Amino acid sequence: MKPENQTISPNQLFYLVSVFLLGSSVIFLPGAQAGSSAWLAVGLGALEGLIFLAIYNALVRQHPGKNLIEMNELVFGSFLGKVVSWLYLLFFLFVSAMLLRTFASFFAIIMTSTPLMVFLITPLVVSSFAVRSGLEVLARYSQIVLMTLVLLFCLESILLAQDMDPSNLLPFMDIPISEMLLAIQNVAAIPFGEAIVFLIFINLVSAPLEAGRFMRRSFLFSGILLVLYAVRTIAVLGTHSTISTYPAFAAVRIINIGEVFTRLEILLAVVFLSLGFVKGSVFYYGAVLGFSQLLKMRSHTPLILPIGALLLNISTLLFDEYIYDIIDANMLFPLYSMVFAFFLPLLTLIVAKIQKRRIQKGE
Amino acid sequence: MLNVFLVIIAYILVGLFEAPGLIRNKYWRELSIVAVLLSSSLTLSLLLAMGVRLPMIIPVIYRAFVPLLTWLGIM
Repeated sequence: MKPENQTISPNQLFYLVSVFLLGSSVIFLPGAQAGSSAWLAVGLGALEGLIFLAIYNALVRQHPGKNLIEMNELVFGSFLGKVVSWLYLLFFLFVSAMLLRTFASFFAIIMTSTPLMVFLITPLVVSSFAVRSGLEVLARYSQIVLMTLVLLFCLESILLAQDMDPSNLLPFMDIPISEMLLAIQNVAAIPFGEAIVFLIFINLVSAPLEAGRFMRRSFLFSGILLVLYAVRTIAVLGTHSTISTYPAFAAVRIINIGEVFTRLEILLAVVFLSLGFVKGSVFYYGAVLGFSQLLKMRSHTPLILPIGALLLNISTLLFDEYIYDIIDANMLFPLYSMVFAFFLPLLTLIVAKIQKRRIQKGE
Repeated sequence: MLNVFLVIIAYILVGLFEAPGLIRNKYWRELSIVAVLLSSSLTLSLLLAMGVRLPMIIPVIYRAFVPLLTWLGIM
């Protein structure tokens, strides 16, 4: 039993953040509301994500070596800082439960007669093992997974080449500007805004001041890869891509080369499983570390299983009809997650700047 | 009834896994936090296992957001 003392290098952070960002998005079509211009929404959403990242980086530069909870306490004071930190932790817990449920729903669609609980408990047990082993293990795991993902992406794209129709990408921007904005906002919220959770681990990066640069690189890398995924999905499926629940999955399903290379979608399902696992675990880990830090515990490991049990309950209690998952992902989450991904960090930054100026004037 | 029994068994196992190490190190504060978390989670799990209909989270958020969504023109 020891407090968290593992550190990861900025390079490992790059892999971890990239896998985190690609996480649950590879199987969906982010920004699907934008129809055939979804790829543009993905690109602009990634740019909006870079704005969020600029805020997080400015926060890290203002408080080097401190994580989100310590920053909150320094900026908002002891009491208010704790309140803000608790809000963040509840958000992390909620998102983790949400991801777990998204997973379970996906596999429950493939294996229809297995109870949902099986798909909730199995990833959770693996996640709790990962959280127990620490951040470095997750980072090294993401290194392998990211390379596999890129290789598989190239392979699938080559096999899909004959089914792609560039005219599916037209008409360009054939939707009202409000819908385009909503689609961009969706992409910015899932996955880019969710990267706020990394501010909890920022003190575990061996060179915290370099972390920002490497995180920017992973934002660009995953942004470009997601745009390519979107272009491929739309080019293959056309308008069907906006009504399918798992568009990228449906696109790869089309691959059929001489009846030999068929049913390759299972590869994408495996990638989805291994990437989303990282994302869920990162949120789970963030919640565990945050709880132990706020409650001033000497070790975070005893919290892993109790919080896991709580996660299981929350994800069962999220919704009883699948339509609510879609409503949440498309309409609600992009709005309320902005409180945590954008407004609170921005407020923290502004207050910190004012305090700094006051101190400088006082001297 | 089997569900309730299984839930109780699972929580006893988790408790047996966590408690001995904490007691050996005399981490009483940590032990109490774990106990509080586990018992609150056990209550929820038992209610779910007994088939009590609890309010779902996202529909509640949805109802709270309907005015904002209509105002933004999303709905």
